[in-house]
Amino acid sequence: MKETALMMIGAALVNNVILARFLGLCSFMGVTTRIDTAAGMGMATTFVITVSAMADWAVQHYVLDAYGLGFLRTVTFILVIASAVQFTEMIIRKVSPTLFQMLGIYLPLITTNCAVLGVALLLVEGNMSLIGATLFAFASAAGYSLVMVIFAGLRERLVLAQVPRLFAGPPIAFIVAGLLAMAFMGFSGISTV
Amino acid sequence: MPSNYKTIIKDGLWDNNGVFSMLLGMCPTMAMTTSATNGFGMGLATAAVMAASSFLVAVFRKRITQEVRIPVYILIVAAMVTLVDLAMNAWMHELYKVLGLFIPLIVSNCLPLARLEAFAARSEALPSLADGLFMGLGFTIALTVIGGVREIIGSGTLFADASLLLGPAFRSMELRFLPADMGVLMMVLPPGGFFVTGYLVVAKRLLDLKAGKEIQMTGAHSVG
Amino acid sequence: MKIGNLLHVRHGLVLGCFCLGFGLVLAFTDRLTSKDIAARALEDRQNSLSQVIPGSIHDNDPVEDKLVIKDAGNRDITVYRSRLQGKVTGVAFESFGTGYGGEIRLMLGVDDQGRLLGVRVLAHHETPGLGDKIESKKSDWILRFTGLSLGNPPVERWKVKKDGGQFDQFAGATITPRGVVRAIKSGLDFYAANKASLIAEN
Repeated sequence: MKETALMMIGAALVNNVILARFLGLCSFMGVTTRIDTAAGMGMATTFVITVSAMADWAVQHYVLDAYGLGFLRTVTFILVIASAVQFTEMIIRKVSPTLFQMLGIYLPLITTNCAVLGVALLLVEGNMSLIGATLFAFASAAGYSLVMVIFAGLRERLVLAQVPRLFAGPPIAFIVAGLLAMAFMGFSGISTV
Repeated sequence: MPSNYKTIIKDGLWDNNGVFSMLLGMCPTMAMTTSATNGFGMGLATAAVMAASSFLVAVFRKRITQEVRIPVYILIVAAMVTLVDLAMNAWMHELYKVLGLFIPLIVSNCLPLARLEAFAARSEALPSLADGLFMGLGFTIALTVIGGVREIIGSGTLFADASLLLGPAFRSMELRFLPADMGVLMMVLPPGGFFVTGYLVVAKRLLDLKAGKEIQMTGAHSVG
Repeated sequence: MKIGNLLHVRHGLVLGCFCLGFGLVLAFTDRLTSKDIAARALEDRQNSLSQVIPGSIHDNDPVEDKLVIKDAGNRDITVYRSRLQGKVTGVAFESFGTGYGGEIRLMLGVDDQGRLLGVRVLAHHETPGLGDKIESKKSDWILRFTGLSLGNPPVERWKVKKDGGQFDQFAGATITPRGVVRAIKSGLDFYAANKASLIAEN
């Protein structure tokens, strides 16, 4: 139990998907201009990462490993993720039209979010059980959402700041992200002892 | 549509540089630039994937129907990535061990997909090949420069381990600027990636401004 | 409706053809490279084994002489055995610890008396410049464990100095060496618990 909790904290904060592993940076830079869009993207991505992690785990164990098709891993994983995104879209549309209205526009973008593929590949390399894999994926995705929301909050303030013209836009966002990454480095070490 | 090779080359290497102008493919740009050698290797792998997939998409563009084009593009890129992955694992093993996870992740790098959609889907095979190749080389240059800056400041070396990772012929490129343990550690840690990339985007804007060009204030963010 | 169906079939066919075509290309490449890839993986293993098992104590190929045992945490551990004229002279196996940035994987070599033949770090996520001094490439810190065993130093001294043990931590990092020392200790415990089956044939 304690080990699982430490593993989840490690996945969410210490080895944060965005700030330590550098996955999902396109969405990190692209859709964090406002807190509510960042939160929406975070929720949609969390859902897809968790669902596709389970599906990829099953594909790896029951198809790729079982038939020695390891070389098809990249191709099948990306297709599984694309299907998971479609599937998520269908389910959300059926179950909750309100949620669909909130998340709908982000869903197609998620297929090319490397955080999804990255987490799936990390799981396979980590040799985890299905439950461990699901928890790891969920914790990583939660860390992703947290950083998205924090960064969107920072950028909302940044709009009001007077930034030199040459630094306006992406460069100042990168520098702020660097400071945020420094802050998150303070978490390293907490999942030990 | 610029089918003029000079424009393609200039666009790919500088004007529309994937990293510094379009801000695409940020994940490997940050993660694989702890040294110039890593950045160079990652860039070349991406360039190979881009050239091959642009060429294939242009060849098959009449067969790929509009509705299924995105899955087909992803499939083609994924297949090319797997080829590069297998080949590097077999014949450039040391470099493969360093780049590891980020080779399969070329699939979800937005840059190849963006070029397929923007260029290869509407162009002849050879210009598409050139576009993929030079966009990829522009990416390689960007990654090598970011890696070089981070490595010089962070560890005081340049192209360290190049002979080990790329082959003995690269030994002469290995340089040391600062004595060991004198580097600013922060630069090779994650925050350094953000700082250096931010300042280099500014540097490119400054150079463009000096050359009397309009500077681009925002990155084109169409895909996630 | 009929035309719609036909279109769907056509899209399916296009997608299917591409899948099949590239699947075949990949299968062919896999055939072409699999031998080299397997050879590289074997070389990696031999390299890490040769660092913890000196060549003078074996005339077999330890990579070929392996068995799998479960450790205290129910994890499968592959043990490689070195033999001289058929007699087991030492074993090598992986051991795991937790450092500052996550798991640290070590390769331990232990002789038939329970003494460490050598320790090497296989993989870690420690801070470059601080925690990575555990790599033999960066510092000779890891070499000091060679020759030690569970009784030397006594069990209660198998800790870093800060925890009242006898091993130096290095400047700026305590958690990393602590993780390494614990991993080595747990590896030696694993050896002691399974000694009978590891060198049974002697």
